[in-house]
Amino acid sequence: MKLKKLETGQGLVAKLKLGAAGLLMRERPADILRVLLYRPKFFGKPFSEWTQELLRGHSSWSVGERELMAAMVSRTNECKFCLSAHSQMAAKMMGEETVAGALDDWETSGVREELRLALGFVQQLTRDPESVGPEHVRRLEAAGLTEDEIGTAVHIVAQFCAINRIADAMGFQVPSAVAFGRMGAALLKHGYRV
Amino acid sequence: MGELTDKLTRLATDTLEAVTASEGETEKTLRADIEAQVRGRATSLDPVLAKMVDQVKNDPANTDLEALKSAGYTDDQVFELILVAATTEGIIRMERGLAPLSDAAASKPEPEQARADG
Repeated sequence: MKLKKLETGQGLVAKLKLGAAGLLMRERPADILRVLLYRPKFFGKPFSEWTQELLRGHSSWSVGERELMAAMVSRTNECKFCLSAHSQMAAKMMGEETVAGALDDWETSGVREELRLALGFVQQLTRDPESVGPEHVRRLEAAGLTEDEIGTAVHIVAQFCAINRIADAMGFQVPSAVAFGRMGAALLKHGYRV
Repeated sequence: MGELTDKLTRLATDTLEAVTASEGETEKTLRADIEAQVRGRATSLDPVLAKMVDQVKNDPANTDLEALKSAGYTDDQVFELILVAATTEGIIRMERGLAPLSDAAASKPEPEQARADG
């Protein structure tokens, strides 16, 4: 973490939450929590409300499919922290082989057609938003995706293009795979609200 | 636009509103300039901040926070300005991705009109 104030500057309740996260992960709590719990009204609270609704709220995309889209954005942005976290959660829900195959090459992956096309759209909107036009959305609609399914994919891109940049600009440390696994299990069970 | 998408957009807008318009350690006008710079509009930003915006947009892992601190910005100020830059970069994609859905909704005839036309 490049900002020293975020190491220890949280309030008492936030420090207790960080301590609990450290016990859960059995190593240094993930830096994302330091950001979300530091002056939470400024960013952490509204951002985590958005995340909760987006990744855990009611949707015709499964939780695993939404985590896979989050991992796809993070991979496209080369954000190791977010890619590790969200690909692990997707793998818990969809299987490691399926997730690795979809992230490596969405075009040939064996996921259902709607998700396969959504992954391509997510990658394009992440990489080159100016190139996305009505024809790309029409293609998804023609494949049977609803407005809310497309809207959810768009929001996953928006949210992860923000948090990937925050993680990398602030220099988040990447926890061990084992610790991420423990954190991921808690996020799958309890959700994203801080 | 679908009901869920509308709700998500309100939550996203709340997040941008929080980082740009909450009370903080930086002036709101400065945060507005950071947002404008991310959106590619002309600003008169301090060059060290303009460089930070470019790094957050294009090469975030190499964002030089030490340069900001050397220029006199505190950790709290850097925290705020990075959040504004990164959140705006995300919101730009939301706007771009949702625009075709909004356009399609606007071009759909109202039920009354559709019946009259039919």
